[in-house]
Amino acid sequence: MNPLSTVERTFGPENMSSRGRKPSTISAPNRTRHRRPVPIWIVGLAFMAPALLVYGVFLIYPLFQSVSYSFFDWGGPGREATNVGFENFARVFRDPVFYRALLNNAVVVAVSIFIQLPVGLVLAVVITSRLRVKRFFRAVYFLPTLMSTVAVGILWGFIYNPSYGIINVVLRALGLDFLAQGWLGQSSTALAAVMVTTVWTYAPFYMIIYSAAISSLPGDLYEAASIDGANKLQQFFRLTVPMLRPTIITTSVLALIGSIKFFDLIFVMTKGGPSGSTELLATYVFKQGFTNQQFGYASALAVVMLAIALVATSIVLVRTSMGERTPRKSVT
Amino acid sequence: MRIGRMGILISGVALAALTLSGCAPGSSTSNTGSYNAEEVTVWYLNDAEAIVQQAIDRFEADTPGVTVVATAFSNDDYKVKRQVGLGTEAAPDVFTSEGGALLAEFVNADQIIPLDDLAESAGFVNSIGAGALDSRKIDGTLWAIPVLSDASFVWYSKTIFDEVGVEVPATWEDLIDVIGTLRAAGYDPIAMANKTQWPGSHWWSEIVTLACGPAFLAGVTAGDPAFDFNDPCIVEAGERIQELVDAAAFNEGFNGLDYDSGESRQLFWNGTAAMNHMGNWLVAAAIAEAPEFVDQMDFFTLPAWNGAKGTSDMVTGGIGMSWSVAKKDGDSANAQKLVQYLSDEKTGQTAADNGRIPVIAGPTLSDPLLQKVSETVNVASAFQEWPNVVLNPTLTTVMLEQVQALFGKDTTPEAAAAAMQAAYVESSN
Repeated sequence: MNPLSTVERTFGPENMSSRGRKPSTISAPNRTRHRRPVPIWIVGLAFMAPALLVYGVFLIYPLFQSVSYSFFDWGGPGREATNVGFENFARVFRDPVFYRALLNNAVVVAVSIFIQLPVGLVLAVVITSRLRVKRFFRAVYFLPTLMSTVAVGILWGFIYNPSYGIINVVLRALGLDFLAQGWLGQSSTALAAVMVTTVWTYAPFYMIIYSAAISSLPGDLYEAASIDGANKLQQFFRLTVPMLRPTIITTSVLALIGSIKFFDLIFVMTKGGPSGSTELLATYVFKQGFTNQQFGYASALAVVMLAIALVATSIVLVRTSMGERTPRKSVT
Repeated sequence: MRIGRMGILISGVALAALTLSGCAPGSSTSNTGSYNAEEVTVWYLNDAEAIVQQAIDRFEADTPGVTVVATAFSNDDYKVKRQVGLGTEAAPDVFTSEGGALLAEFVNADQIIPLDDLAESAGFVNSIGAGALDSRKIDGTLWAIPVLSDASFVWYSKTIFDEVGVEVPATWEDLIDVIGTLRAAGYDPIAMANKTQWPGSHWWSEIVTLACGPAFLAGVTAGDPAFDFNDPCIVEAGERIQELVDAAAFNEGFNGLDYDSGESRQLFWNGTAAMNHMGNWLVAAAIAEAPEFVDQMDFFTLPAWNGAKGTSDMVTGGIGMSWSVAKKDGDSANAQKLVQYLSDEKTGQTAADNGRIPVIAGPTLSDPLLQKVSETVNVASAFQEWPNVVLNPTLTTVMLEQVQALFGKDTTPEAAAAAMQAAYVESSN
């Protein structure tokens, strides 16, 4: 059935006043029936309505709410709130834990962009190569992404367990007892340990994106390159990487935003500890809101977090789109 | 034009959203729901499921047409859930709390109802006792019914102590020696899981009480402006904690292990660790998780060092599981009746049978360990309440964080004390 006829029935002329502007309308598929057309923006809105509603209720509305809460000293539902102006924001920039969380978030961003994405890319090259067992590898590599992050966090908690975790057991079996340690329990190693887990969990996600992009690359270029004597490594750096540039930008933005709001694995594995060594902006927002009952201050932190994500993302987008335009200009 | 109209629509929605969001939070949240005549909802901590369930069963049998929907949570989840749920329509009718600053918070926010009349009609003064009830009164009004009493001790394995040939330490210096001997014999001297930070804070509160004397922490509970965390005795307590760490008293990586999933208890049950510093619910945990181990267990109170202001016979603890009734519209009779079942002698007996210490008079403690716990608490020269229960939430978070850092040697005793003082000043304003 033609979807447009449904639209026509729902938003027919008897229900909606149509001014009949040609460019903004969709006419009925059968022109001979001379039905009065429905404005396209209504049709668009009608199709978007369910998603818009969900989006509005669960994203736009809470966003505005959160901004308004950030100006209050508020202990949570049912408690009195007092307007404190910009005091919550002033407190954010006085708060040493905020800066520590910011620094830790910077580490997470760096790890995702400079380790996670390259690992994903290498895995993608492996599973798109002419290896016979590539299907097997694709399934195995993709497995971590299919697991719930809470399960991953608990699983890696076992792996890192100081007494029976596999890492320390193997180290001790090799006689490297001095290397066996409480990975998640000391501030010197906790963040690095969680970062290993994030790479394990999320690199396969980027692998899938990259492998889709790689399989759509033109094969004749590679043939030409190998005839010209380019080895696999040269082909990778001279052909694959430049042609994947748009995909790399998209995945970088995804990784950037994902790292700024990163929460779940940290919360399960370390709760931001020990001694705040893995505290991130998102875990700190949670702590201030739900543990300290400072919902106003937590909202202010969340607003600052949103601003950081917006600024960082726009910088990446603006800079990369500028880079795209420059060569084009030189051509014209 | 098309864009224009769309734009108007969007800005209209946005404006409406802004207007809505412009309201002060809390100003329109007086709707906290009402009691349901056929259902009573209960939230509580999952360390008391058997104790709570038998009371619910008796209540349901005696109250036809009313069902009880009870949900048990693990410690950290419960604190978050309770904080967010209370004051909304999702709030439970009946729930537990640990008293202290939290209970005062519920009262200030007008979220719970007074239980003086219930206590009167149920005769709680006789069964529970005036002292325990007074601990749940604020300005003369009773807000919660206390059921269980908890205290923390150093539990040890008699088997390992015999095997290594060490005695229960009488002084702090002895304790350090015992730790050294146990470590040399290949044992983890003390099991610890401090990811959730409160196990460390129990150590801290006991050591502070030893270093500063039993009356000291009462000042911070009362919000005394003269109270100062920079006091040399608090710094000394931090040094004592680090003395334990330097003596290799704990299992490796303890700051990353989780008590709730049993990561310290396992070390104790399976004979890897010789001691475990924990509340007396460890007896209940042993009965449930390692019944064969119960006979090997014994405990001592943390011994004082030469020159300490406190004494070895002091006890740190609190009244766990106190029942409150949420404030809602309508008749709270069923909720209050359920609280009566949850606080009566049979519940007390079930608690005693399950390894807990009821504050309710009458039940017999058949377990010799529990009898000893009860006697130790009764003869204690002072009883210090756990600060992670009685302090305000912000100060508690900083205290927990700093104590964890002391154990991890990520901070110095002086810096930790200064950070707590800063949080105390900020949160008192």
